[in-house]
Amino acid sequence: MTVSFEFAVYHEDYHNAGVASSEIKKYLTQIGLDPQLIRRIVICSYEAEMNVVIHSYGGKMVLLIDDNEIRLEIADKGPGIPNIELAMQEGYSTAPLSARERGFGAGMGLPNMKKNADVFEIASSPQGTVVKLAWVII
Amino acid sequence: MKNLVDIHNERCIGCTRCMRSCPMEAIRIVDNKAQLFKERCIYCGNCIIECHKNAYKVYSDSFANLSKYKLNVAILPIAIYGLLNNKDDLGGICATLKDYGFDEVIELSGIYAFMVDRILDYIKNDDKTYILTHCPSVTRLVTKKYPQLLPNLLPFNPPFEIAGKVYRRFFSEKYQIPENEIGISYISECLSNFIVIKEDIDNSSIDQVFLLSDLVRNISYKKIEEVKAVKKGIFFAKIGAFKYVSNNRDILAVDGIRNVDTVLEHIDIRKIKNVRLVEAYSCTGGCVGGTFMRENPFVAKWRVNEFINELYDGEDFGIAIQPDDYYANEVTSEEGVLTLSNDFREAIKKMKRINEILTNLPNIDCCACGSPSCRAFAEDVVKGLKTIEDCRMRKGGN
Ligand SMILES: Nc1ncnc2c1ncn2[C@@H]1O[C@H](COP(=O)(O)OP(=O)(O)OP(=O)(O)O)[C@@H](O)[C@H]1O
Ligand code: SF4
Ligand code: SF4
Ligand SMILES: [Mg+2]
Repeated sequence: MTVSFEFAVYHEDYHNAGVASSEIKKYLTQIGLDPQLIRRIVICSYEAEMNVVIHSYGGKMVLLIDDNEIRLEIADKGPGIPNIELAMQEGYSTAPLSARERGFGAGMGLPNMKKNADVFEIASSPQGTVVKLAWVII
Repeated sequence: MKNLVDIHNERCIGCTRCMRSCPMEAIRIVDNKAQLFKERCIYCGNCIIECHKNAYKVYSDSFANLSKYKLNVAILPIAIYGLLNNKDDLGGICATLKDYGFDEVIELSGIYAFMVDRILDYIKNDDKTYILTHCPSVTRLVTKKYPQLLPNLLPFNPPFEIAGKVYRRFFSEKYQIPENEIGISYISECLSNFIVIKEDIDNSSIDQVFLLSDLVRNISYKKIEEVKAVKKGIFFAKIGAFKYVSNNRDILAVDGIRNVDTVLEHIDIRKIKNVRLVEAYSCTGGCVGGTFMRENPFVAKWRVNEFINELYDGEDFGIAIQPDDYYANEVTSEEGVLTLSNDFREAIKKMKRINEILTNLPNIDCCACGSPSCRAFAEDVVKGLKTIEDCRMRKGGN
């Protein structure tokens, strides 16, 4: 059995930034997942959500819960990441001033996602970036 | 055990105000009357403050109980300074309490001041973000919603608990009376302190609790008595005191339970780093915003400042406090109160059902059904608390 949730995320919408991750946390708590696992998932969802807000034209996040795993898929509408290898490096960031003023732009988001997810996949083209994350439930 | 908080059905008009103010979704309106689901409640008191019909009843103790003890000590809450204009007023309150039958009246500024250095020393141990435990509602929020942050709670008792232990010993020695013949009463400024003491009365250092609002009504400011107060501690009547008295930049001060919730969420996912201590209070403005204060928190804050200006820095406390007085028993997690089922698969099934129901609801969170949101209503239907017909705005229904 699979339950899914979808959240829209908008470019530069700092006011609502983090709301999707908060809801994700609420639902994962309701199904009784281990709090430490919830923390890892929410760290990733928050970083992914912020990347869509800061670096993309907007997009959506989909949370899929089933008996064996939690999946999180984040897809946006571009402009894409020209060099993924570079973007994955700790400290690499092209965050604009508006994001840096709010404390983002350390270049740690993608590396943190990779560290905290059991499965991490990223694909990007000028049409958009897709990040797929998964956690196994034991 | 009898309920500590009840709703007067004849006063409640089912207006949904209290339900919408509850940060834990712990209230529902059933048959047009408010109902409180205790296991989710964190005693923030929002519901009592929001109710305009005075429908909430809080069962405090009776002054008649004072006759059980040889010596009665009243502990005033730190928020009392939000009600006073000057030291004479404090004397007046003490005199009033003595008329009620108390032999000694003490206040908490000395304990608060003493704890400042203990806490600063403790948080030096590692680079965790610690959470202050002066406010029991914040502690409850952690145990119910952020069990993974339990290690971040400071291991200290709230100041009224410390005071109960310290003064029981002190007065027992002073008057040569056995400790168990001394009755310690706390005059509570908020629901939170009231409930944590009453709920665990056998382990508390306090024997009885009265509500500040019941008492302040009858205060005479005529008689004057000298009460000692420690300036540094009085700041703790309001939010931001820790940051102020310790002049420490790594302290984040937050008041209002919903704001506290957000800050805890940020700490949990390490969105906030470099903060050593979160000074968090459930009530607006800190303890001056307590449920039973009956004074606007901003006015109360202003009064605290005025009062402090009257005092000299050097006032000394001078009563011995031991580590046993301030180290708390370990706080246990209440993980699970927010889950749909103990069984993971069952919970997923329920969540799927909730989502299905939700697609047929208007999603305007009007609350007319007696649940705090459309989603909460769908949950209530799945839990069997409500039926789909209870939605008055249902698509194709009614
Ligand atoms: N969805 C996206 N669309 C376009 N570019 C992206 C996207 N996500 C990441 N990037 C690029 O990858 C870089 C690194 O991302 P990462 O999340 O690691 O750091 P950051 O967002 O710059 O800073 P931090 O996440 O620490 O606040 C970004 O600066 C940006 O250039
Ligand atoms: S005290 Fe707070 S948590 Fe408890 S029912 Fe009232 S509003 Fe909700
Ligand atoms: S605020 Fe709550 S208790 Fe008070 S009248 Fe309205 S529904 Fe009833
Ligand atoms: Mg990022």
